Amino acid sequence: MSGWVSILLGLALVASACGGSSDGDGDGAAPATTAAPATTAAPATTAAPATTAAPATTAAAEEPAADEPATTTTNAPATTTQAPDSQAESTATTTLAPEEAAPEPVFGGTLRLGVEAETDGLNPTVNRFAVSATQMAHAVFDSLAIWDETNSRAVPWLAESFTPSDDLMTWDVKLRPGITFHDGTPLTSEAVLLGFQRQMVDPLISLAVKPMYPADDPDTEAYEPAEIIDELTTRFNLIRPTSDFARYVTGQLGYIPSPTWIRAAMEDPTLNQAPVGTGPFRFDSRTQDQMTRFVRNDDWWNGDVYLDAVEYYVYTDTVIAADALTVGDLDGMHTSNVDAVLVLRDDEDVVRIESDHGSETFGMLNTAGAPFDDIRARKALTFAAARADYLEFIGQGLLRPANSWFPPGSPYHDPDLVQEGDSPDLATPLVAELCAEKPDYCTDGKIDMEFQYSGPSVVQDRIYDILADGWSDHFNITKEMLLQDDHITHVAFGLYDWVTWRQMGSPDPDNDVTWLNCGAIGALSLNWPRYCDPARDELMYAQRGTVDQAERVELWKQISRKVHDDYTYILFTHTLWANGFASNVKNVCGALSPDGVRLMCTVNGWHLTHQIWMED
Amino acid sequence: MVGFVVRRVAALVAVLLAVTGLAFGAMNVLGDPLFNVVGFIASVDCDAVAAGEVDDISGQTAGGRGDCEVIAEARREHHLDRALPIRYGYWLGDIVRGDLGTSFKNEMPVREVIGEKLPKSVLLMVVAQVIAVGLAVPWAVAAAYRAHRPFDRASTVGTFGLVAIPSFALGVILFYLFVVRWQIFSSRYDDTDLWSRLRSMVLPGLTLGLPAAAVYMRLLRTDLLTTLQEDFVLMARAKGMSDQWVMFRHVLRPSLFSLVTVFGLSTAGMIGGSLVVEQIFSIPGLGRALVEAVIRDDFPIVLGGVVVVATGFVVVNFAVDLLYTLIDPRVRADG
Repeated sequence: MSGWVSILLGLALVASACGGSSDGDGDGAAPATTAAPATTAAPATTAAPATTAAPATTAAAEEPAADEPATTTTNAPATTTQAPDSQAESTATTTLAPEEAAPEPVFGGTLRLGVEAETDGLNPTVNRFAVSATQMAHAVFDSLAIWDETNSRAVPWLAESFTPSDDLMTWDVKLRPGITFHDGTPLTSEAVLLGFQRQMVDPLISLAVKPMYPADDPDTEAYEPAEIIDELTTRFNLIRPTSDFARYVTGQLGYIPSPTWIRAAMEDPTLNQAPVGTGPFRFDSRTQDQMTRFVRNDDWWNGDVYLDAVEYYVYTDTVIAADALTVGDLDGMHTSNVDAVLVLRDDEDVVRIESDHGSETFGMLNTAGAPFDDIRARKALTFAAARADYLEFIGQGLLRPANSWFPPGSPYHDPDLVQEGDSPDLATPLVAELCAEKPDYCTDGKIDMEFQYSGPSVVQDRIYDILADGWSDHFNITKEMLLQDDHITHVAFGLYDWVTWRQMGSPDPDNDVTWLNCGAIGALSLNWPRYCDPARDELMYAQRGTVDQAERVELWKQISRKVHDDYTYILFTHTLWANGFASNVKNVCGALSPDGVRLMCTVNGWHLTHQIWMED
Repeated sequence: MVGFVVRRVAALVAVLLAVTGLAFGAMNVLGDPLFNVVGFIASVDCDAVAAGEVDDISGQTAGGRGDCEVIAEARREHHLDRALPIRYGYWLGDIVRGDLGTSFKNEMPVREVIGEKLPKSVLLMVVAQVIAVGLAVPWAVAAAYRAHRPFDRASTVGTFGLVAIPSFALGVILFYLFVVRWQIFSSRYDDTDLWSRLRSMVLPGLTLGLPAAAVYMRLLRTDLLTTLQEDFVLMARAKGMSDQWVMFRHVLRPSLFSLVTVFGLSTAGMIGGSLVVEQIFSIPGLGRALVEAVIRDDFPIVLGGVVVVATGFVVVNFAVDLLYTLIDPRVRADG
C-alpha cells in the first residue's frame, strides 16, 4: 500500500524531507568529513568533490551475507542497463552506465515522470511532503543543503555555508548571494526565517521541527529558535549540541519558498497549489490527481537547465505507471511496489535505479499497556513471527530481510545483529510463564492481542494472514483494519497492541532520533512503541553531538543493539525503491553542487531533475 | 406540461433534501468533523485544559494560539458547536448561495474541484453510452430478426459473457491489449484538446459501454420479439412492407421503453464516475475524487458530489420521462 503510515502522517517529515537512502556509502569516510563542523562550510565541501565515488560494491564484497545479497552501485549518468536477473544479485542494485559514455547534453524536451501519489499541496510550510511531493518540490524549490553522491553527507546547496558555534549549540546558515525567487523577490535570510516560523506553527510539521529548538517566549520580542544575523545569514539556536545541521535541511524542512508567496498563500490557501521557489523550474500548471507541470527557469542560479519542462503524472497504481513507461507514455517513474518493479525488470529498454537503503518495513509493539508491556510477550511475538513466509509471499524474492534499520553497505550496519523469528518453540515457555503469572493477559493459555493495520489493502490483508497464522498457536488475535488516518491517530495516541509500519531509513540516522527518544512520548507520541530507555537517549544525543564519525558509527551500533534487545520492533524487509527511465533520459545521476560536489542519484524514489537531458 | 415540470422540480428538491440530509448526517455521525478540520489536536480535552488539570495534548500552538483556541475557532467557523439539523441548515443556506465550501484536504473550493473533475466523468459517461447504444440497437435488431437462430444464440452467449465480466477485469484486458501490447491508445487521460480527450475515452468507454450494451441488447431484443407478435406488425407485413421497414418503422420505437428506462438509470449512475475504470485508465474524474473524499472524511467534497450526482440522477430521469412521450404519444406528460 503506497501511502502507508509514515507518509501520510506528515510526521515523517524528517524522513521524507531528508530522504532515506544511502546507496553506495560503503566507506565511512565521507560522513566523517561532514560531521566535522568547521569543514561542513562550503569551502571544505568543495574541496572534496566526491572523488570517492565509493561504490558500495566494495562494502558489499566485504560483507557477503547469505540472506542479504550484495549491493552494487555505480553512480553515473543513465544510459543502460538491466540489473542481473538472479534474485540474489538483483535485490539491491543500482545499475547505470559509465559517465564517459554520455554524449553532449541536449537542450529541450519535456520530461514526463510518473509519481505514485498526489499531494494535497506544494507549500513546504503547510503541506506534508511524501516521496511524490518531494520529487515535484525539488523542481521548483531548492533546499538549503542536499545529499552528496554517497547519500550520507549533506552538502551546501542553496546555502553557501553552515557554520557552528564552538559548543555546537548554534548554527549560522549563510545563503548564496544574488539569488531571486521566480516572482522576483530576492532570496534573503528573511525568507529563511519566515519559512521556518511557518513550519514551527504548523500543527503537524512542527512536531518534527520543534523538539530541536528552544520554545519561543511570547513575552519577549526576540524569536528564540532562530534569528537574522544579516541579509544572508540566519542563526538557528538548538537545545542540544549538534555536529551537523545541514542534514536536517536537505528536504522539506530546508526548502525556501518565496516570502511574498507564503504571505499570499496564508490569505488564499489555493495558492498552495502554485508554488514559488528558487528552483530550476517554475510552476506552470497543475490539475490535481492528473498532472503538474513546471517549465525551465532560465535564470536559475546554478547554471543550465536542459529540459524545457517537466511534467509529473499521477499514477496511483504504479504497475500501470510501469506499463506506461514501457510503452512510451512516460519517460520515468518511481515505485516501491514489487509487482511494478517486476514489470520494469521485464523490459530491457528501461534503465533502472534500484535501492533498498531507504525506509524499512516492520511491525511495532505498544509497550504502554498489556500485553506488550511485558517483555516476555514481546519476545514470544518476535520468536513466533513467520518471517520466512513474509519474505516469500510479500517480498516475492525481491526484498531483502532486515535485521536492523541499516542494511549491509551502510556504515552503521552491524552484521552480528540478527532479527529473530520463525522459532515458535522459543515462544512456548515464555507464553506459558506469562499466562501463569498474569492470567488477565491470556485466554485459554494464549496471549490476547489486537493486530491493527491500515486498509483496505490487499497486501496488508496478506500480511495479516501470514503473521496471524504464525502466531496462532500462542496468541489470540483480534483483527482491526482502520482507514489510514484513523490508523495513524490510534498509533499516535497509543491505542494499539501491534501494527505494521514503514519508516526509518534516513540517509543520516540522526534524523530518526525523532521516533526513538523518550521526549517524544506523551499523550500524543512520536515514539510509537512508547518505550523509554534513558540510556538509549544518552547514546542518541551523544552521537548527535560528536564530530567523530567512527564514534558515531559505534554509538549507532550500540543503539541498534538496544533497540533489538528491547523487542519493541519486529523488522521484516528493507523497502526496495526503483526508478525506471526511458533509454533517452540522460544524466539522472550527474548533478553537481555549485562547489563541484557530485550529488545524490536517487533517495527513496526521488531524484533531481535540473541535470537531466533527453536525447531526441 | 407545466404541472409535470413543476412536479419534477419539486421531486428534485425533495430528492436533494433527502439525499444530502442523509449524507450530511452519515458523514457527521460516522466521523469526527472536528478532527478533519484541526487534526490531532481535536482530542484535546479543553475543559480539563481550562481547569488547569492537563496541558495541551501536544503542546502545539498554531499562529501563537493554544490548541483550545484553534479548536474553538474551528467549531465556530464550521458551526460544530451547533446541533446537527442547524448545521445542515447552514450548509443548505451556503448551497443556495452557490457556496459548496472548501475541501478539508487542501482548502480548494469544492465548486472548483468538482468543476474540474465532473466534465471528465460526464465525457466518459457520454462515450460509454454512445458505444453501448450504438452497439446494442443494431445488435438487438439483428438478433430479433434472426431469433432462435445461430446468430441469436451466439449473441445470447456473448451478452452473458460481457455482463459477467467485471469492469475491472475487462478494463485490465483492454488496457493490456490496446495499451501495452499493441500500443494503440495512451495509458492515461490526455486533456490536450477535444480529439485527445475523446481518444482517451475509447478504452474506458468500451469498458463501461460493452457490459451496458449487452444489457441493452438483451432488453431490446426481448421487447422487439414481443412487439413482433403484435397484430399491427402482422398487418404491416400483410400489406407487403419489407421486413426492414416493419422493423425500423413500426417495431423498434414501441420496443424502446425498457431500454430507455435502463439507459436513464445507468446514465445517472455513471455521472458519479467509475472508480475502477478511472483508476485503471488514470482518469482524474469524479469517481476517484469521491471515493478518496469518503475515505478521508472530506465532508465538503462528499456533500458537493452528492448534490451533483443526485441532481444529475433526477434530471436524467426527468429527461427519460419526457422521452417516453416521444416514443409513444399515448403516454402523456401529465398522465
